[in-house]
Amino acid sequence: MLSTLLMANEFDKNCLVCHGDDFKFSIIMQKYTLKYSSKQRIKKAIFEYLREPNLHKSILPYEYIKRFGIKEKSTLSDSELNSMIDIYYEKYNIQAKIY
Amino acid sequence: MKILYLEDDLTLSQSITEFLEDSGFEVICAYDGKEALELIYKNIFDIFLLDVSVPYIDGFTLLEELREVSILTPAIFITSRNTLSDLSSGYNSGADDYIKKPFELKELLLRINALLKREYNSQTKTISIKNDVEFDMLSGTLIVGDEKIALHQKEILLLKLFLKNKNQILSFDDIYQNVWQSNQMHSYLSLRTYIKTLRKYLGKSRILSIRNVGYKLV
Amino acid sequence: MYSGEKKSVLYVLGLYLSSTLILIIVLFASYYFHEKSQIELSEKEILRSYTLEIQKALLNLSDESNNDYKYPRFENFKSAIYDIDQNLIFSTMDVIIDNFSKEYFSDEKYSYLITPIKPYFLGTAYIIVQKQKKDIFSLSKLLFLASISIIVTVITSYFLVNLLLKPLRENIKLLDNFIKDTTHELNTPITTILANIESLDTSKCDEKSLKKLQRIKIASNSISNLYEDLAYLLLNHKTSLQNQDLNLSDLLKQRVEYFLYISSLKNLKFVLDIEKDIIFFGDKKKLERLMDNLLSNAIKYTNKSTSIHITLNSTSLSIRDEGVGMSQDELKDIFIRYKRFDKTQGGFGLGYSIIKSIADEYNIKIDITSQLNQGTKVTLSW
Repeated sequence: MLSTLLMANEFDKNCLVCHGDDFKFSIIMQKYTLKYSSKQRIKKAIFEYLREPNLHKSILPYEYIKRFGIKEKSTLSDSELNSMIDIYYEKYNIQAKIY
Repeated sequence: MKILYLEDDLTLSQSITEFLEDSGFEVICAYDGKEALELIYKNIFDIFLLDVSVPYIDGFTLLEELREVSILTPAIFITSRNTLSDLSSGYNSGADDYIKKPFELKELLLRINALLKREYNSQTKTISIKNDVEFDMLSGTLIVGDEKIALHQKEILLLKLFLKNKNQILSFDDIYQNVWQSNQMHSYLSLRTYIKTLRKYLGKSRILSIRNVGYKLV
Repeated sequence: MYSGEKKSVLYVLGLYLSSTLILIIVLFASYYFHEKSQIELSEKEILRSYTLEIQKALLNLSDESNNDYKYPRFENFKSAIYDIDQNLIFSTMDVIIDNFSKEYFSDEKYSYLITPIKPYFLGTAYIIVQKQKKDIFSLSKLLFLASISIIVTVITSYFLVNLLLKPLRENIKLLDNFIKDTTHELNTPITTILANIESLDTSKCDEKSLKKLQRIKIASNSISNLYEDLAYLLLNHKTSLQNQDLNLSDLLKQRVEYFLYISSLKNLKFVLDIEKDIIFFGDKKKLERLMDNLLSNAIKYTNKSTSIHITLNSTSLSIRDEGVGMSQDELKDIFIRYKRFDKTQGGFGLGYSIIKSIADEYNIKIDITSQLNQGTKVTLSW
């Protein structure tokens, strides 16, 4: 319980600060889902991007990247990164929203 | 007239032999194909009377073999069967006539005589050679006037050969084959003697000698 | 039914049944598989159209970004979506599919279609649709039909075979009757002949005529014997058996005497070694016929001027000739009816068949040894 709260805090700090908690952040998840289908692959793809962000790996269209630029490489450790990704997936995954 | 009679049924063989002998023929019996072949090589026959179904070598095969070695003695087949295939086998192997069992003795006799008449080109039992010289086919005797002349066996055969081939040239080989048996040595000298005898009765001009070839009866 | 008939009936029956059976099985099987594939095709078509519906719905959903997504539900079918790693995303079906190897499959109630899609709407890599299976013919009904046709075939085959054999049977019957009648009718004139010969006053006959009469007698007996032998074999004509104690030695000597005249024609000699008073319990006529056949064979197949050796003791009778002989192959065939090794001779070849037939009746063992061109020895032992 406590760890989740702590983690949530970290998530805000590391991710939401830039991405913002709105429909745009969920679109990213949609795009990843459309391209990678399963949980494992989605998470893997995100991890690989965050580790080494570049134009090719980006899930967003070229125009967007051109406008906003490539994000900076993450300074978080692998495990920290994975936790963040886990939380992101928890909150935003499509699968859970189907009823 | 010498007949070779081939028949394996003993009772029938006896019966027919008796009848033919009574009719004036000389009959030698064989009871199987092998025996028949032996007898034919050892004797000269005037007629072959062959039953078709006999042990060892059957009638058809036997006659075929004989024809192949140019033994042209007229042959009559006796058979129980009369299908078309049997008839053709018979004639193809070189038979001159065909009689079916059971047959009447009279019929057999008629056929034998018919064959003989054909052989000698004569419609009668005795062949007239000259005015008063006749040859009795059946008994094989020469009748001059009222006398019956007994000829040597080979002389008779020679005379028969001439009569069968009147006006035709007979080579020495032809003569040797038909007058001497296969196991006998022929002799030119003996032949000359026989010719001489025949000329005595027939007249010298009747038998022509053709140098280095043979003889001819005219 | 005649003895040879049974075998041919079984052959014909077996052939007909097996061929028809194979035909029926092939027909029904091909019908079954054809129907199956037809149904499969139509099911697949329908399932494909359902899949398309789901796919469309997913596409539409995928375009929206909602807080939740309502899974497309349809009345006439159920469906499920799986991700690329074959994990279930969502399903309205009762079953979970784990085997993705077959595109189309079915179980008792439902038929399924698995379709991979791309892009992965809502993460879907595979759409599986499930529908109620069309009620096709049941396999059991088909089997039932097949068995009916088989039974019908069997019944018709019985009638067919009978039809086939009818003309044959009639022919055999005709032949049988003919032989029966002929045998009886023939014997009358033969009896007349023999009777007249016997009663002829031979004192007034010359030798030649006597000989002729003798031959007539022998020949008439031959005819009579031939037809009796034929009738005996063909009609399985078991004349009333009158078994009694017979003096085999005397009987044998009698038969030898009967054949003396004929054997003399071939200049044959009989060498007898017959123990006295050997008793055998059997029918006189049959044993006579047995011996006559043995003796006549020996005489017929031996060479001229040879001997025929006859031995009789309490357990065996043997006859040896010095004649034509037989090869090993011919020996084997000897007892097959009518088969004669020497096809050149006429006649029916009944001799050995009769010998065997009578011997079998009395449990007499027959042993034949022979060498080509040396002779034959027949030994009967009891």
